[in-house]
Amino acid sequence: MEKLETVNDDRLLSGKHLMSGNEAVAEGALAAGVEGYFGYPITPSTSIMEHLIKRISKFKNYFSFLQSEDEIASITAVIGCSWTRKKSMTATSGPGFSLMQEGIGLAAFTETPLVLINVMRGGPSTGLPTFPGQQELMQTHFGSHGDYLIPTLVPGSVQECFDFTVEAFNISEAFRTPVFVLSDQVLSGLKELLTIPEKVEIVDRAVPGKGPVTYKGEEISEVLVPAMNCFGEDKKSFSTGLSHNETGHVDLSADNYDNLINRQHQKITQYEHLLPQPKLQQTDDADIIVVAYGSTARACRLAIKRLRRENHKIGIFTPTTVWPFPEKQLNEVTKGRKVLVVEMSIGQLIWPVERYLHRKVEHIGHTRGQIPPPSLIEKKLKEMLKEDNN
Amino acid sequence: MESPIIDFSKLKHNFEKDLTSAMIPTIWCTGCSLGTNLQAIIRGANLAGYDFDHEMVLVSGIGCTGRASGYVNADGFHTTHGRAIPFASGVRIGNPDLEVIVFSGDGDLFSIGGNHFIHAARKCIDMTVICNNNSTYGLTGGQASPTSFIHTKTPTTIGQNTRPFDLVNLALGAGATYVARYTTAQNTSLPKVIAEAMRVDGFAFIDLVSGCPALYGRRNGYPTGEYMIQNFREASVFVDTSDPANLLPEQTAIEFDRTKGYTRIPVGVFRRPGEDQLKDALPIKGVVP
Ligand SMILES: Cc1ncc(C[n+]2csc(CCOP(=O)(O)OP(=O)(O)O)c2C)c(N)n1
Ligand code: SF4
Ligand SMILES: [Mg+2]
Repeated sequence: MEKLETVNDDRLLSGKHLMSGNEAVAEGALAAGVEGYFGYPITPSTSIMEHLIKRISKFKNYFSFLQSEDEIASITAVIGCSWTRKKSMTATSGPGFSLMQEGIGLAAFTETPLVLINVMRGGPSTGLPTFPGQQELMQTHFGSHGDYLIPTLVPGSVQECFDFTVEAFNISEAFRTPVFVLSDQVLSGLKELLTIPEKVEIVDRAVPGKGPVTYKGEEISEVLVPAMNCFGEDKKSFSTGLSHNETGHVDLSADNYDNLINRQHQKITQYEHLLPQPKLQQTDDADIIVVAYGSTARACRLAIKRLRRENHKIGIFTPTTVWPFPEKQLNEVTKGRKVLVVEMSIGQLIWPVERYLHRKVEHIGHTRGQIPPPSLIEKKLKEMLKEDNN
Repeated sequence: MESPIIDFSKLKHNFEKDLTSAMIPTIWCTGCSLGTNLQAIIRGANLAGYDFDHEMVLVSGIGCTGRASGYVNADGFHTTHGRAIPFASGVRIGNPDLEVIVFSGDGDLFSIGGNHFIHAARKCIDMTVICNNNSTYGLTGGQASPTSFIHTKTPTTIGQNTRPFDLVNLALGAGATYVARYTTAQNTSLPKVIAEAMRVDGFAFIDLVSGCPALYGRRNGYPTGEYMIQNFREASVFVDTSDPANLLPEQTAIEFDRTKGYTRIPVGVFRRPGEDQLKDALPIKGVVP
């Protein structure tokens, strides 16, 4: 297929801006070509919807928008809109994300491209609406019932809020899948310098009979990712949340279900290398590797900077895609080294880390509705260094 | 004696063009109203001039009724339980050139999906919603639904059921553009009514009173489809809806007697779009400058 890009126009505000993480998400969505938004207000995600409305109300072209009656309606309408071949999205936070779980399963099983931004606050329940948390890492993987694997990106800066939202749309279109972007309350309002490029490469989902999609230079298998017949087009378009065959119609047979579930899993794992890769900083000579993502990783970097000044060799591994988890890269970097996991949760990131490293690691599970203070991380790292010398 | 084996792939039916032959026979029981109702919808869509190939999208939720979307040879989607209306909203707002029909059950639309119904009606989202109102949760075994009558028996009834919704009154109150009630017994006039609803620019609703003879019927003294249709026919009362007094809740509610079955089913078109109706609730067209 031909190469597609958004160039500098009313959608793409090329240039330098001082923007918040949420504004950057909305700009990223526009750059990627979003055409449909359905949402329900919830702190701290609301300003994504508000910023988008401010921007689209000046557009010449039709934009599909509706403020839904609840998050169940939002996610379902996004799925409906996506089946009209429109790039569609929603954004929410904890309680809304919980309400969306059944719809997320429907989107995954019917292979519906969509982007869902979850701006994490402290939970459970209504929890800490105006304070950050990182307690939905496992929910993005296991929140809906059944087997499914949804690519999940985790930005750590305003720039990444923009970049990863663009990427999320591209991934969703290339692989016909919902994609999550997990931001957090700190990033949502944090203002930083955002550079929006002159043009942004975008991907549109495959059209039946028009050949495979190319993503990051690689041709995506039409067997693993079947082209999507959308509503109103020449071929009949049907799907169901029941187990279904390639025509979209119900088929509950064991062979069909087995193939379907495993193909849907494989279409993500086979192209894992095309998803955003983990960032390694000062890991070459490190005695200890810190593993952290999102705004927590920022505090870790500050602690590491201070310790490096005292000649302590510490590095950081920041996953930018958390699902599928970058198992291989983490194993390579941490081989023979101590590991410290830092997160704003009593313990979620530590699960995949320990599972994939097959050993116990050190942990800061900060549960105070704030980014763990760098001093706290520094103290923990110093204790770990001291144990080394004993 | 060997029981005869029917090869369904060799049988023909009257709607080869409009039904997904590979999915026939349906899962529906003998005597169920669903077959007749689906036929009325297909006839209605043809009467309304809908292009099955490029413009019509049939959306359903979960239940016996929910399976209908898979039987019609048009675009469609079988969503999660209760979510047919929000899905349809996404389709309609996503592509305003499409004609969206929701066909789903009373449990799906008014229990788990009730919130979506009232808001889509209030927002006047352009779609046609047809409720296969069999007063029970057919697919899960005939439990009480939001339209089950007080003195009927279901596996979840202790003593008596809670009182039912009057769907016509509910739709009128929520601001639907077009509101009608018919029963499966009016199968000859139904396609015309359905076509009229489909042509409405706005939120059109039909309460289609239907029978589930296999479960709700059997437990409550009307075990066959024929019996139920006869009951619907006898109990149907065409209401003069030009008289506002006939739109009062006391006049629109269905009456049911434990020993006699349905005793009064007010039927007709209770609201057609008028100037007043659409003044504040223009059909949603997404964001256009
Ligand atoms: C979230 C959820 N809860 C419960 C169910 C089980 N369930 C399937 S169909 C149904 C009720 C269907 O009743 P109705 O909508 O009236 O359809 P009918 O079968 O009568 O046509 C229920 C409760 C489900 N599928 N999903
Ligand atoms: S269970 Fe009832 S509603 Fe379902 S197909 Fe059978 S008769 Fe119809
Ligand atoms: Mg029912």
